[in-house]
Amino acid sequence: MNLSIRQKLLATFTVNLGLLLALGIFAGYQMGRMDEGASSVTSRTLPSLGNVEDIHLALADYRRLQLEFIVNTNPADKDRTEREMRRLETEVARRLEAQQFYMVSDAERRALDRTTKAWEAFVEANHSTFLPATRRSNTGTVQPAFTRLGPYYARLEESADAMAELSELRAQAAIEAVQSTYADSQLFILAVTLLSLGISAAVGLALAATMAQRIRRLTSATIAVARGDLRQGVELGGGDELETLGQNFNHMLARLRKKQHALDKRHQDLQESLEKQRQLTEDLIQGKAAEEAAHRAKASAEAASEAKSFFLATMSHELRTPLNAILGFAQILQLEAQMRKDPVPPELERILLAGKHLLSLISNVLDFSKIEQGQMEVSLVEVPVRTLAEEVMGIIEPLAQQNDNRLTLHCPADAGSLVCDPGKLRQVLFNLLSNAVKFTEQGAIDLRVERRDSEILFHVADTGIGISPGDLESLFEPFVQLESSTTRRFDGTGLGLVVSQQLCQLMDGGISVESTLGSGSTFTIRLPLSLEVREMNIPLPSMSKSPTGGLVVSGVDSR
Amino acid sequence: MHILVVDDNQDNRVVLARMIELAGHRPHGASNGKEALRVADELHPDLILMDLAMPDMDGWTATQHLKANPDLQHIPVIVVTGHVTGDEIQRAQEVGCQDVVSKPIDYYVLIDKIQHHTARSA
Repeated sequence: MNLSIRQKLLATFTVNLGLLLALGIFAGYQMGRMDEGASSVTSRTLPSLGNVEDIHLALADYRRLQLEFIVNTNPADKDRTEREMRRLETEVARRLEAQQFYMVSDAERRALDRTTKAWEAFVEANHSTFLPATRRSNTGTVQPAFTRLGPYYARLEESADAMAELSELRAQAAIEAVQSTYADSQLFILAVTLLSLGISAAVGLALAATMAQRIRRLTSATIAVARGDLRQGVELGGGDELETLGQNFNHMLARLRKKQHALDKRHQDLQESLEKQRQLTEDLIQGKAAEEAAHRAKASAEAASEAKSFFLATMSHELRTPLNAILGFAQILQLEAQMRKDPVPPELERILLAGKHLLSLISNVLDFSKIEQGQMEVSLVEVPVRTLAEEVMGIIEPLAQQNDNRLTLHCPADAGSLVCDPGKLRQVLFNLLSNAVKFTEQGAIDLRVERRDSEILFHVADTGIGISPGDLESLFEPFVQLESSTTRRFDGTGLGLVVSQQLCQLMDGGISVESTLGSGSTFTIRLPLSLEVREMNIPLPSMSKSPTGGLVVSGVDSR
Repeated sequence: MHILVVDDNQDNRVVLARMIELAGHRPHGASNGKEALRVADELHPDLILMDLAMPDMDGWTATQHLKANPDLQHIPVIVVTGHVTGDEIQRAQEVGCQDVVSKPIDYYVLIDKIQHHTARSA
């Protein structure tokens, strides 16, 4: 039933109006009926009753006049009485005629008819028999005449009474009818009023109930919204203004939800952005802290490195001083024995060798530390390649002889000169050659110089024990020694090749190696020819070839 | 030849002196720069072997004084040092040192240099 509240109320009102209208019509009709009954009583019954009463009175008068007629002896009185009788006869006739008008039913009319006939018969008998009989005498015959009139009068009276009774009955019926109509109307009006009241109440209550129920739902929905719960809409139904209100409420809710959602999203975005900002700030702070930490770490590392360099330099110097005495005295003893042509004790030779070994170890450690800290300086000078190679060969020769190795230099006549740090090149060559000598017994060691367009190569080849592929990989890594079986025999710090490689790299070159385990190794030094002369230091102490073929290793620690 | 050995370390002085003797020269000793200047002024040696780091007066200062003295400036000064940095050797060159021999000393290197410098100055 999709009707608006107004329509519903209007419909209810219309129903009630219809009922009241019907009631009004009915009441009007009933009142008409009652009025009709009442007017009938007024216009017919009451006059009829009055008329009948008058007729009765007239009859009684007439009877009294008959008696007077008998009693009167005076003819004049008799005439006057007769005239009176005639007047009454006219009156009764007139009244009977009038009664005709008041008669309603056939029974009444018949009763009137009979009364009229009885009257006429009574009057006929009066004039024809009674009056003549009594006019002359007053006694004797009077009584029988009067008695003879008796039946006529009795008939007349009976019919008049019947007529009066009928009229009374009619009046009674009319009153009863009015009373009945009144009672019916009363009942009907009461019923209709109650019905109307009931309908109004029912419709109103139903309407109020559904409206109240829906308003309650709407109220609870608004309360939920007020609490912030935007999820639940409301379905009111009913197709009226309340449903429209509910729909509008739902629309409002949907928009609120949308707004809320947008707001939530915005809030979330803001939160995220805030979180990012916080993260960023934290990162910044952390980054700054890390930077400071790195700065401090760097500073402390630099300080540590400086302290280490200083320590190494000092230690190197401090170690050299006693070593100087050891090596010096050992050499003096050796020289003195040689001058006296005495045999040099082998222990003295061992002291010298061990001392020189110790010296080379100290030098390697110092060099390595210098290179690591970028403190190794390179002094470039132009040197004749062949001269340099021959110098180194001269130094290594005695060592080669110890292991019965054959040492050969292959240097082309046009080897020319090379710009390099000769001290460092000598050191590298000496290192490679002494390794070759160390790991080769009764074999051949070759130093071969090869000049190319832009570079010069020094190949140091031996026929020694060779290096395993696994060891080749870590050959140039600091503090990694070769397989213990070989290195233990030929002791070393494991720094010699590392330092050599680094020294070559300082001169824009490098060292490569090829080796076959068991059949020998070839180390190749590669140096560029076009290395520019960047700085010139004072001439380095040149390595002197010992006139007696003794060991000269001052070049290990250059300058 | 008279050769003055300047070194604060006695072992070093003895090693050098013995080597000089073995080569047939006359060694003289001084344990610091001040003493070296006094002995040099007294003795007028043919060559001076000079250590660098010494108490009282170091080798650089002593050499500076020697080279500033017209009577002594002709005497060759060979630095004998365990110091190996280029900076220190350059400073020695700047004050007038003729050559450098590094410790530990090798007899042949030492004698070679001595002969080289005394032959030139002679």
